[in-house]
Amino acid sequence: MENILSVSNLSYFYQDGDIIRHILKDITYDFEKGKFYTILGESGSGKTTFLSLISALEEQKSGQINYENINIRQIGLDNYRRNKVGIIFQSYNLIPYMTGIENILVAMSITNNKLPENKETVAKNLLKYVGIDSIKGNRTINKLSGGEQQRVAIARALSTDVNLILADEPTGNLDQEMSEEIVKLFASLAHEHKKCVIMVTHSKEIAKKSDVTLILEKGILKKDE
Amino acid sequence: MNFFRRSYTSIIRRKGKSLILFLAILLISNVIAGSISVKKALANTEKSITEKMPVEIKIELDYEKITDKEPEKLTEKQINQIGKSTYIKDYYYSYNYNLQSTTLKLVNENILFRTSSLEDKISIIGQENSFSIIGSNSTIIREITLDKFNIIDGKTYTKDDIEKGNNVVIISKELAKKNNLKVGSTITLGKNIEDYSGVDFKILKSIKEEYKVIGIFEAKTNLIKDEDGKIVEEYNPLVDYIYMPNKTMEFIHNKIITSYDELNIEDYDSFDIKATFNLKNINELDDFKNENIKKLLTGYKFTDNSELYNKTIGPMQNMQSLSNFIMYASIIASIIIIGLITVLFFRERKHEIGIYLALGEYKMNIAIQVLLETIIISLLAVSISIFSGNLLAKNISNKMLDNEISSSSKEDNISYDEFGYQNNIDKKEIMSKYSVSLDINTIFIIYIVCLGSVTLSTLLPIYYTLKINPRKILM
Ligand SMILES: Nc1ncnc2c1ncn2[C@@H]1O[C@H](COP(=O)(O)OP(=O)(O)OP(=O)(O)O)[C@@H](O)[C@H]1O
Ligand SMILES: [Mg+2]
Repeated sequence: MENILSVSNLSYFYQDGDIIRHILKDITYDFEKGKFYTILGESGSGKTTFLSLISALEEQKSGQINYENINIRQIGLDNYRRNKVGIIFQSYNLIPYMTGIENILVAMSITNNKLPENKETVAKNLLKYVGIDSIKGNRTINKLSGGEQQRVAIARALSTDVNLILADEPTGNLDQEMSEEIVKLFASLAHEHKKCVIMVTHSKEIAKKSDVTLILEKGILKKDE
Repeated sequence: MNFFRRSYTSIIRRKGKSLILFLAILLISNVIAGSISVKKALANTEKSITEKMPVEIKIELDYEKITDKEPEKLTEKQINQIGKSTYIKDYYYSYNYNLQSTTLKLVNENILFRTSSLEDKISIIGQENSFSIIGSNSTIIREITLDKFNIIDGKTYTKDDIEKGNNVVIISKELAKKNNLKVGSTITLGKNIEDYSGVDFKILKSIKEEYKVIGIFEAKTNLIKDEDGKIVEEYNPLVDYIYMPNKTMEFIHNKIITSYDELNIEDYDSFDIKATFNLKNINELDDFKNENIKKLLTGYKFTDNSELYNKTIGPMQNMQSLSNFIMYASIIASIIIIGLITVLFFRERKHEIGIYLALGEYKMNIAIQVLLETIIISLLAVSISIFSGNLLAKNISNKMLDNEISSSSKEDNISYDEFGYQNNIDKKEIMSKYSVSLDINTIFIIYIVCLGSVTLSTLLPIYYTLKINPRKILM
């Protein structure tokens, strides 16, 4: 399978006053299309930091991140987020006073990717796909449960027709049953829709369901053998 | 769901917050709209009062400086030189003269007798009526500009009349009636050159000219009021004045002078020039005087009506500076209050803006969205304020101005012009001219000022919010 995201020599540090703490050390890894990756690691190991760099929410300090062989700086970080990646957060991050459908329409109006004309139908279908019926889809976000909100967030990440889905502990706030369903969804996105899904998780159980499990430890990302 | 729809959704769904912002803007823009309306009304009133009471500078004889030698006569050239000053808006000069008529009857014959000290002579010349003649250097007659009279029949001078000195006159309707004159009639005016040296006086020569009546005016009735403002006497001081172009008057004057010379009689024919300069700005009065005092001939001085002007305009200016203060204070207050409200709401908006940034939205679009929200709410609030603020201003400012004038006019001493008209403009007249109304211009200014300060107070929070790192908020 072809590479979609190539990380090479990526390092990152935080500076607290005079103290510099290196979180990521020279990470090099190629992510492929059609695969479902999970990243495991202890709390504080730098998983969120890594994800924020490859999702361009944080600017990298050294090393290279290439999307389809083009440096994401060259693509432009805003542009990259707008057109290349779908990001799913642990805390959903939906606009609370809008409905699920409206949240999806917001993302669809922002991307420059060519989308079908009937955006609202697409949004409804996406919600149906993630398991939200149209009654719930027309509720404002603050009237949805955590699991339902996360499904809307996943639908939003899919709505811009991107091939790279990045998720930071998306099941962190959900019960086991809900988590499993979402993981199933991710697997099918990778396998049936040929997307690359990279998901950060704490759970080894969940990690087992992915194609590739990576472990972030002491700043180094390596494959779990 | 573009940013425009997002603004709309945000306003509608976040009703509580929209309402708070709306009420805050409504409150402040009422004050701003009110003070702008008052300012505008005061400026309009001041303008129309100034039209009736311009800042006038006159050249008058300075009796303190007159030595044995009689001062030289003012000339047209000197007046024009002073009139060219950049401080001067416009200026007039009029020749003043006396002419007699044997055929024309005075309206107020008794005045002539009462005011004259030469009773013997007058009883002898009794049948000859003397008329005050007022000239004009322009087609615009000053008395019309100042509302002292208006033409009710015929017209004023043409340019040709002024330039060539055609024999045309404008007379009062009373004089016309008394002498059965109409527009188009002719009157005869002139002077006798007399010899008083003998026991019986002789008429040496009669100089006469015929003048065509081109216009008939109706003059304002002069009301003499007592301290309480009650009218004690009514009269019309202009009925026996005859108006003609300066040049016309100069022509007959020259004719008379020539005759004196021919008859070898010493000239004592009196002929005056009165010049009035209207200043552009009362604050430049001293500058004007400093600039032009050297051009004055010895024995003359500048007099002005600045004291009376200030007294009349003063209350309006006091109120203008008050409403100015209120306006600026409320603009500053609005920037602070609306800014604070926006900042307060932005703490929670931060999250939303972080989401837009994470989705890759252009910062400009986010800024426009948030600004649009405030602007739409403001537009509503300001549109209401334009009317409510105006209403508020109307009720409050009328009373305020009334009070201001009353308190400043207590020490008023009334001044009169050369005809006996009262120069002071009384409270009633000012109040009748004062009206808080709405015109397109005012509405436009209110919108600009209110929306401008709202925009200003929103831009800064937007700017700072857009600098946030979305990761810090979202992850
Ligand atoms: N803005 C920051 N400034 C300084 N240190 C930071 C900052 N953000 C994170 N860190 C530190 O960097 C390390 C990695 O943080 P990160 O959030 O990437 O960990 P994580 O693997 O996602 O942990 P968790 O599983 O608890 O979410 C932590 O020690 C954290 O305290
Ligand atoms: Mg984390």
